[in-house]
Amino acid sequence: MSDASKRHNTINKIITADGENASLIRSFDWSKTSIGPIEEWPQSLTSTIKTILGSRYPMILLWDDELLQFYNDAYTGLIGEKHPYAIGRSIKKTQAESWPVIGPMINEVMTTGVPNWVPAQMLPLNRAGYREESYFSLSYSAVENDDGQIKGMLCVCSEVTQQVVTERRLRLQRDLGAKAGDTRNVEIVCKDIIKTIAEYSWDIPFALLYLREKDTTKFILSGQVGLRNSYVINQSDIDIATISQKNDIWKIAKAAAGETVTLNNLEKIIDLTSGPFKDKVTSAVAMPITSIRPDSPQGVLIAGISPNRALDEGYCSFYELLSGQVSAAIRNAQAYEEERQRAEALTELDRAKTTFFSNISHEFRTPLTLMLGPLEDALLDNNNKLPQRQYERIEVIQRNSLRLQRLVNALLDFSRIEAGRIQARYQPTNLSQYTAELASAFQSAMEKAKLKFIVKCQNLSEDVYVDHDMWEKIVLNLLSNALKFTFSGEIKISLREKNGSAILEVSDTGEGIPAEELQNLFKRFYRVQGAKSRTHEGSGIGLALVHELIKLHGGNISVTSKIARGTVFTVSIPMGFTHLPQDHIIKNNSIGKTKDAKSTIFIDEADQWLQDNSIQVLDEVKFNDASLKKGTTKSTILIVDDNADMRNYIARILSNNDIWKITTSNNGLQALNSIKKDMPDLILTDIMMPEMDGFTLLKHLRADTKTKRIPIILLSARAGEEAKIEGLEKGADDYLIKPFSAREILARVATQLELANIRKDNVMLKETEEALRISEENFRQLADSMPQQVWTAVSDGQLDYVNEQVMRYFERSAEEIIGNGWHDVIHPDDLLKVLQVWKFSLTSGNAYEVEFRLQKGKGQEYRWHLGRALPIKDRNDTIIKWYGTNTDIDERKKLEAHKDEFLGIASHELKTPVTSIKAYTQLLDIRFQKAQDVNSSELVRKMDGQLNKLTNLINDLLDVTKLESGRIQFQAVYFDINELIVEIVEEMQLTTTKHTIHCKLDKSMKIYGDRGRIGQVLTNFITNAIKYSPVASKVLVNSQLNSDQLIVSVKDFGVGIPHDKKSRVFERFYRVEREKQDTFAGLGLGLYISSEIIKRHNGQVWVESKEGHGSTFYFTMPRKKIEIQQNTDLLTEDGF
Amino acid sequence: MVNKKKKILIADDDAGILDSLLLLLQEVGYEVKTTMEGSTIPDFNEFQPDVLLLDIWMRGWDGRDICKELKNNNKTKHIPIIMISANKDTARIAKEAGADDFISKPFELNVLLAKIIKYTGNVD
Repeated sequence: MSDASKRHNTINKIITADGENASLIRSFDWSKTSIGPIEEWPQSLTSTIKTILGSRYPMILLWDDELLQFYNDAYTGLIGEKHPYAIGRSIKKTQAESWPVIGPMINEVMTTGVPNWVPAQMLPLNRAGYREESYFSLSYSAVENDDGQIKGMLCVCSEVTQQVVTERRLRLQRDLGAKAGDTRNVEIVCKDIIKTIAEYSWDIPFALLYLREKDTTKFILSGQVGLRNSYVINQSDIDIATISQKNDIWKIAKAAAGETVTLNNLEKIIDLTSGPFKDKVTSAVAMPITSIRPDSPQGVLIAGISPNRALDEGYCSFYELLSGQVSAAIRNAQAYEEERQRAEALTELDRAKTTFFSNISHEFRTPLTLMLGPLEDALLDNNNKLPQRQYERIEVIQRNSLRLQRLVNALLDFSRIEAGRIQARYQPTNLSQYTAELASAFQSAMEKAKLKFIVKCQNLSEDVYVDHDMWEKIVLNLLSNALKFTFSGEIKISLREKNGSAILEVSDTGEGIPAEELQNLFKRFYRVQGAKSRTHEGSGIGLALVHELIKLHGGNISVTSKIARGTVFTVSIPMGFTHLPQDHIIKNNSIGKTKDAKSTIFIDEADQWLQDNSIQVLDEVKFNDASLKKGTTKSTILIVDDNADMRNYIARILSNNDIWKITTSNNGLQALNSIKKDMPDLILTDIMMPEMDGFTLLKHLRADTKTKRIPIILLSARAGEEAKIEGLEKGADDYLIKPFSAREILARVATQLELANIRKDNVMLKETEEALRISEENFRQLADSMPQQVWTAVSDGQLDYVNEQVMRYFERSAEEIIGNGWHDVIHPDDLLKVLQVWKFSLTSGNAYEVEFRLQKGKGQEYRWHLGRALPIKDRNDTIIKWYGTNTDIDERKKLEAHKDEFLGIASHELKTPVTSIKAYTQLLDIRFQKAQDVNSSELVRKMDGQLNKLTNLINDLLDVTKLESGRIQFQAVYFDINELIVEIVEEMQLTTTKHTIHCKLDKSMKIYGDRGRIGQVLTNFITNAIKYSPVASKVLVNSQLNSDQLIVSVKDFGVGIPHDKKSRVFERFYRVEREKQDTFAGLGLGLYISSEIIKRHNGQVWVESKEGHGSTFYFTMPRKKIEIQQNTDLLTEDGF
Repeated sequence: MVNKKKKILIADDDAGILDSLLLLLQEVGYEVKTTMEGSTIPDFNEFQPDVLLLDIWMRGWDGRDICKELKNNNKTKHIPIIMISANKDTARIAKEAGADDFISKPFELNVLLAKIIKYTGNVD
């Protein structure tokens, strides 16, 4: 065996694996590399190489400092054309372009030996003839050589392409669902789809969305992404019926037939690069967007295929899902759009219908009114009585007119409910009482019909929310129905409560209804065939209307019936109001008005059935002339209507009484002109008129102070609540719906005139209010003319008024200051003090007085002001208002400050010579003593004593100055008060031989404060006690503890203080004046200083005294730890 | 026997105070020097005092600054300083400036002497 073949055998034993890379490694001339020939390789290297060559995961081993590469066949695909050159060569060279990224990572693993990991790294894998977008998770680990040193690095790549790509595609679908899922408009849906697709260009490099024009063969481009416009511009609209196969580059015709088509060789048509490596896009799919009919898609989606992914099963199903989603989104939007259009059409139809009904009613009602009015007049005219025959004929006409009116009203009600336009007003009602009242109207008709009429309405536990008009219609309809079909026996109406509902039952012993008819009973225009009834009249709408009205109340109606036995209607209405539309609920309870025109119509009609042509004289008009005449002598009434018949008719009704003067106008404009000349007491006006309608007239009259109080009654043919509410909202006093009866209009006019009279009385009241307002106005004018800031505050301390000076000074609006806005303009250092004082005044009712600085305008300047306020109390001694002023005292304050400063310097300067005089005196004393000149020494000591007094005076002056300028500094500590008292008493005892100071102290306790200053107070009190009791022999010092404070008193038996001067002794420079003023020395500052010190400790000072018997001075200290009120700007004193 | 007298330096801007204290302290047996010129105090070239009486408020300069300077200097920080002032808050100011003690003007001789003795020992 030759050396070469021996060597070959050895190599074969070392690198045993099969495969391309195994043989490449074997045949590589390693002896020229730093690793050396294969035979000399360390065991670790050969084992690792064996491992990688045997693995199907892509793996690469880097070895030696040069990082020479070994990799397996699986890895080859990852480096493309660099293979096979890379084998045995340094990765630094072959991957030079990516070295900056991978280099540091490799180095780190090689130096530290700590493995590393890169998840889902994209690598361009070329394994199927194209660069594939593929992802690998890379794991790096160090490899040691035989002696345990790190010599190489192994990288294992595991593919995660499917995971990454699938995840991304799922995300697209999710986004699409989220964005386009709930859109209600096709155009927006298309935009959203395209926008979403645009974010996923690696999966869908381009997309064209064609939608079929409704009912044509035309496909319109409704969205596109990825392609330059030039490719799509002439493809925006494709008719598959006419396009040639050659021109149909997107194969829309085929796709529109329901087939998914793959388009290839697109690079010849479009110049589009895409994907991670910017490769040319060559293919796409054209997919049908399915509609409900599979053979006729609603559109075609053309989607590009990634140049870096094969159109594999996953890709195909992704596209399938995509087109499905697009289809669903578009279909939803289309359905929604169609639905909306349908709804709009319906609404429009409904509007038209309602308008039609409205117009009809107007057209019907005006002539009806004009018929009914004269008819009623004729029948009631006792002065010109009709001949019997004529009377009967007229009555027939009236009867039928009323019936016509009733039908019109019912029809109108019904159409309004249908259109959902009825404006129910649910209000809490004593339903039992109301129902009984409604039913009672039928009493006489029942008697006439010889029927027993039983009304049994139990009291309910609470008020029931019903619309009065509707409930009236329900009750009256059911009763008139019962009456119509019952010829003997009884009719019973009952109301009770059951399970939270009000139950109305109307039962009769009538003909009964066949079972098969029951289900149709509540249908519109349905009438029971062949039923025996009192009349053939009837629209068949009554029960349907009742049914609808009950539904509006959230209730229901049921019926049971037996032929020849009778029928029972049961209505159930829930109690409470939560089931009702909240904006239609009126909370104030009132009993509905009964027996108005409506029930009259019902009863009159019922009467008609019972009359058998006998002549019935209707009741006289119910109101008496007296009530009309009361206070309404010759009131003028203006009638405004464009219909001459109507004008004359109303005028005739109203002038019959001969107490009103009637004028008329053709329209609003004419009325306005006539009102200017002759002010009427009441206006009746139609709404619909040429030139100026009733609402506009109303507006004009209400806007003018001269006419705004004239009562106005609107006449409207627009039945229903809307006109009512509209009219009242616009300021009408009342309204009348045409047609109306003579009685109605007379009653309304009389009522309004009476109300107007009451209002006139009210004007008096208003004048009082006006006077009050004027007085307030005066106050404000006065306040504004004052130089001070004037304000008022309500009892809780909020300002509610400031005068002009306030606004001018602060350069702010009243709104900014009112309330608590004034806090902002007070100097921050003063605010706390001001609030404390204000709060004290508010709670105690004491006058408020405090000095503080106020910001001028919005600048830096603050000026001192004196704020003062007094409370105004009502009869019950309750504070209703505070009247306050702020006076500018800045000048005075500055002067005071100058004075204080002067005093401060003066007292300081005084001390200096005193000090040297004292020193000289003491020097003299020493010398006299040395010389044993006792007399001289005594004189010098007296001098020293006087110097001490002088020093005390100076100190007092300095203290006052500091207190005044807030510069005194308290050094608060806990100290034993008894110890202090004893100490001071002992010290003071030394100053007197005449007095004995007795102590009577409570148990010892520690209090918080400035020990020295409290000592000063005690000293002052005791000094005074001694000084002002020159003939007494004792001074008593007491202390007493109670629950929250310590009270110290110093009692003397001296001259005392006159009663009227007691309150002034604590004032600055105050000395109790006596006949012999020079008796007592002192500046009068001691007590003032004491009182200030105690006040700053939150304590109190006072004196009890009887002239000639002595005085007791007291001070208190809180037991609780307190915040000492002090300023800390002491260092401004004395110039440092 | 050489009885070395204790030395006292008084710094004040008032001639009357300086004169009266000089006489008084000399009378009780101290060697006393006075100065109105605050800026020269930190030198102590000729006269090393055993105690310094230092006025807080002097025209032109501030006793507290001088006190702080002396107390921050290794050569001089051992010298006891008693601050004197007409100010009621002398105690606090003296403490803040790092002085050893204080006395308020006007003062009793006994009190002043007691303080001086406290820092220098007895005269004899």
